[in-house]
Amino acid sequence: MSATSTAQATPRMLPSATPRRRGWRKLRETAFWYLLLSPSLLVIFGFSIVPMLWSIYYSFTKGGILGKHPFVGLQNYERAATHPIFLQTIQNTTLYAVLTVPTVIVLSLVVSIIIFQLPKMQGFFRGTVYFPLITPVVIAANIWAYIVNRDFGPMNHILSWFGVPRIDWLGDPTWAIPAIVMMEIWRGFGFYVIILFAALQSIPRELYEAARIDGARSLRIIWSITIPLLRPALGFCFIMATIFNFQLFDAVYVLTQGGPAWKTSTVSWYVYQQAFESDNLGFASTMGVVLLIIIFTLSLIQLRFFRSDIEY
Amino acid sequence: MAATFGGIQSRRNTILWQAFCYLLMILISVATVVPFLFMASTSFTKSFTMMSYPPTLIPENPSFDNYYEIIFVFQEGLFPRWFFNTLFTTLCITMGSLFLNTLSGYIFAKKEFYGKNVVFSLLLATLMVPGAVTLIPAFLMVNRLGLFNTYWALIIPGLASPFGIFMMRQFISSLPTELIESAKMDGASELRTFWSIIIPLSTPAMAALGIFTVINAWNAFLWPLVVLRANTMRTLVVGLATVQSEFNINYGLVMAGSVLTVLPMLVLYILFQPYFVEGLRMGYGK
Repeated sequence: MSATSTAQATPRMLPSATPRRRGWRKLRETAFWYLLLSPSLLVIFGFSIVPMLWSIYYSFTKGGILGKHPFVGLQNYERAATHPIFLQTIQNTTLYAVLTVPTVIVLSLVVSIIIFQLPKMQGFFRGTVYFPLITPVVIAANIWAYIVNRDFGPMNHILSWFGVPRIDWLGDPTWAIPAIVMMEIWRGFGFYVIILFAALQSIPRELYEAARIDGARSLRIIWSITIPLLRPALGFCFIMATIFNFQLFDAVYVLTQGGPAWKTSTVSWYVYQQAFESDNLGFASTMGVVLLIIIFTLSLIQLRFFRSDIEY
Repeated sequence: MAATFGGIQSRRNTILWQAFCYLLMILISVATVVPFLFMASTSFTKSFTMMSYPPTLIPENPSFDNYYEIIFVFQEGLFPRWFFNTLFTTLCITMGSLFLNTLSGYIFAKKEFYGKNVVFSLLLATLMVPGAVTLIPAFLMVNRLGLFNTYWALIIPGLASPFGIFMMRQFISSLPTELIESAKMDGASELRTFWSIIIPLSTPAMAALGIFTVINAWNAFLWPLVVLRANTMRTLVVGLATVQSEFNINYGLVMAGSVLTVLPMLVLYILFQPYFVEGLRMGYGK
């Protein structure tokens, strides 16, 4: 670790101590703080970076969960590149994210702005839109399965008032992904509302006053003052939503088990299925690593894109 | 507090606009909460079919039969056992992680040592590692340590989190450093300072982090699904998700179980609402 730079930077703080003695003291303190940090670091790194490295190793081997793991080089990656089901799951996962992320961000931006300019009951509305997030995905998905049920569900019932024929939401390959996306939006948008609301609160009032004196209209103020100032918070929401949605698992597990015909399967679901149901550890790890690379790349691109020069 | 975005509008337009906003928000709130009322309604309906058609929110012959059955009859008391599993692991995770995250947050906020920034960035970077890539090796590790099907498998990974450390660091950074200095002058040891100065001052942030941790631990799915396979070791959420297919039980029963699972979190949510929003703001907001 970078020991030299910090040690040289502050040699004259204590006149009596020589630079070397100060460095020694800091070294001892460093050891002490790492000792206290060690339980947290062990738990966090032990259940993230260590297994990640292990997965990377497994991705070059073949075999099941138990037993030997002979090295096979890039075989799994070659297989993944042409594997129809895996390619389908990548496509599905991307489709989930493309459908969910922009919708959920725009929806929560609009809702947070509406709540923000209400004179009363702000807390109440924030509380209700966040409510689905305190329930387990499994239960929310179970309820959703009922809502979109072909024969009994309220969704088809409401649509029938407008003359729409009954849709088999979760059984029809065309409608299964939209049905899951709707659930994700319904369950998740409150999270972004709360974050954007907090960001709205931190924008100084004087900026609005100034714009008003200049004679700007409300929508114009929102468009040219509020939204640019929300950029860091919006960027954060985009990154979080992308990370969450590329890892979609629970809803798929409960609602469709990846079916019909892998049409709703996500990468995370297929990894789980290959590892724990088909006992195909090497290939499952390879797919996990590919997902890691995708998420990492997307996060970096978004971090660059949303980096803000505005300070307020 | 009213906070309009200003603009030049007549008073009448403002009132109309606000009425429209209230109406819209009420509709959105209803759409958010109503699905859960269907859950509650079904749990009071005694039937093997999913629901009557057309859908109703008020059951025709409401009864507590499903509740009685899931608590006392179902698999000879499996449900209370699941409840205990969930409660016990959630309590252990919450208490342990509150201590460790606060301690680590304090060290990252107020102490200088070699490699601090690198380690802290690395901690935050772990948020990007998807569960799909850590799941299998983490499972194998737990298996090799002989923790499969034990509470430990659930508790240990929950004892610290990058989010928790980040949040506590943000909060403790804002506490005045002089307090720590003066405690040192009085001859208090480092741990004593942490225990009797930092912890009492951090209670608002700890309350917020605590409720997050409780809800996350209570609702966790994928990890408990993988490491707790024995029927008696399941948590509520995993139990409810797997039981439908395995025992072919009726929908009202599952919904009664779901209500009993959500209820404790609902009570907690209502009681701790202010902390909750504040916590999200501290952790994620600017």
